[in-house]
Amino acid sequence: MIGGLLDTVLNLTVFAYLAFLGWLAVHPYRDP
Amino acid sequence: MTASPLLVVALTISAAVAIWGIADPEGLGALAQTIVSVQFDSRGWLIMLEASAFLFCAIYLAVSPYGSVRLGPDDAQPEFSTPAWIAMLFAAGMGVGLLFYGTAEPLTHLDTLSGFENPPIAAGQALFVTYLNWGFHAWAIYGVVGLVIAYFGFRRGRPLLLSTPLRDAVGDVAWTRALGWVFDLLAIVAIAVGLAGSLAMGVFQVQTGLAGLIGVESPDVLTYPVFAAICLAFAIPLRRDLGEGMARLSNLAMLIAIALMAYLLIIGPTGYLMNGIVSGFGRYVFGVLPAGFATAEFFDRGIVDWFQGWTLNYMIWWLAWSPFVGVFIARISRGRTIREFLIGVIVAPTLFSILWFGVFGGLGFYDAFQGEGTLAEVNRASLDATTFALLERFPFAWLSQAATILAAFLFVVTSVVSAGFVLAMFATGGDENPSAGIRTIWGGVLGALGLAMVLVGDVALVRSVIALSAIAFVFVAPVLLVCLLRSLVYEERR
Repeated sequence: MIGGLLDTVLNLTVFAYLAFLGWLAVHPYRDP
Repeated sequence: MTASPLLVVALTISAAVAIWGIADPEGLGALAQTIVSVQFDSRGWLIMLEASAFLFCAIYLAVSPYGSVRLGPDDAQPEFSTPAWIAMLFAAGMGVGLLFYGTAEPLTHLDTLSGFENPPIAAGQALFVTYLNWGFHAWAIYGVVGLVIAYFGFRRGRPLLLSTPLRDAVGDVAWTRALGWVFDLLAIVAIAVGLAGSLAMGVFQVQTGLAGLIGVESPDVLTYPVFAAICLAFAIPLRRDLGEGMARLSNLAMLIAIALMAYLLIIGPTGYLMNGIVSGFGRYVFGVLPAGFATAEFFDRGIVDWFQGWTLNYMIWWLAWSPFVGVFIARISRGRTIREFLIGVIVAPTLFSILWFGVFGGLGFYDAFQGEGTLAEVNRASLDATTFALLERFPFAWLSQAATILAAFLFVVTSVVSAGFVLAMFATGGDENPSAGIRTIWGGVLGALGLAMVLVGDVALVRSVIALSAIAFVFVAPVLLVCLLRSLVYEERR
């Protein structure tokens, strides 16, 4: 049960990560 | 000596893993195996997707107009001649792994796949899988990470660190600094544990060979003497700056390995081996792109375990090593164009792997199909012993076995010395000449981690520990790639 929940959370993290990569690709550059 | 927070945290984590491994090697090995198995079951697709994405991006960058971007200022010239550069790339790709797995891996795949196919067809597939594990995908991972390091280091003039791309390509703001710091830390841990695993494999290989050579019944009694000899051998060069000497030793090891391969090809069944190499090459080159997406999804547990234990494990392994090999290939490639860099880094070592496994694997198959099949039995009992059992069948076995032991020893020592250097560089914010003190501390940590891995004892468990340390890196490498693509587009628009 807990293992299954953890796995679901990790899967969601992976999809969130893939979304982050997409965002990073189009995120405008900020000159510091 | 600067004690940056990164250095302190990285040393603490590495030392903690080492102490845990020394105190409870079985516990560490078993835990790593459980976690890695769950990760591979649930997220194996991500690893294969990533390896393929790296290969496709590398092909795109090599053929697109970005290929003519130079890794350095526009007027930079390569530091080394092309033949010398390719020889150094071979050296990066060679290592104790090839000596260890040359015959053992194709024979193990043959064993597994013979349960599903006629043995002759299974042999072709076994060689194909070995090529897949050691070929274009591995070198695309190394190549792209090396390209990122070289581009930001030499073209953009930033420190040779993994935090650099994010800070340079996205902007030097709080979150990129924080995430970059984590990237540097993960890279350090992955390199340290990965190298320690390779050290342990070197110990297993050398002790088994030495035991056969000097007639010791059980190789285990040699474990600690061999381990101590390796530690002594890398301690001295780490204290002193022996860059040139180390390069020479690494070249010597490479020459021994190449001589060994040429000797076996000539003195062995040359026609049989060349047939295998040519047909294996064709099958690989025309089948590699779809095979890179394989996930063994509809097979039973036996095949899934085999696929995870080999192909997925290798892809993770290449990721774990990519910052280390990436720094090495970046440093020798300043002034080359992206196209030259990617073609050289990906094609040349892959062709070498094809030849190497074609010869060593082919000899294993020759024994299985035309000989008595005793090599497969040795391989089932212990992967460490396969290479030596193979050499035993040819003239001058004593000499070739001693040469193999020497090459394995030199590969391990030179890798640990360069890893100590790269770790010290990463942990000091990209200092290209880290002090001997910090290099020595990292040498000590690598030694302790290596001891932990030796105590874990089993090659499969050692591979799981390496995979565990590198899993986080699965999430780092694509970010680096996106940063590179962003910067290339940005540079073009400017």
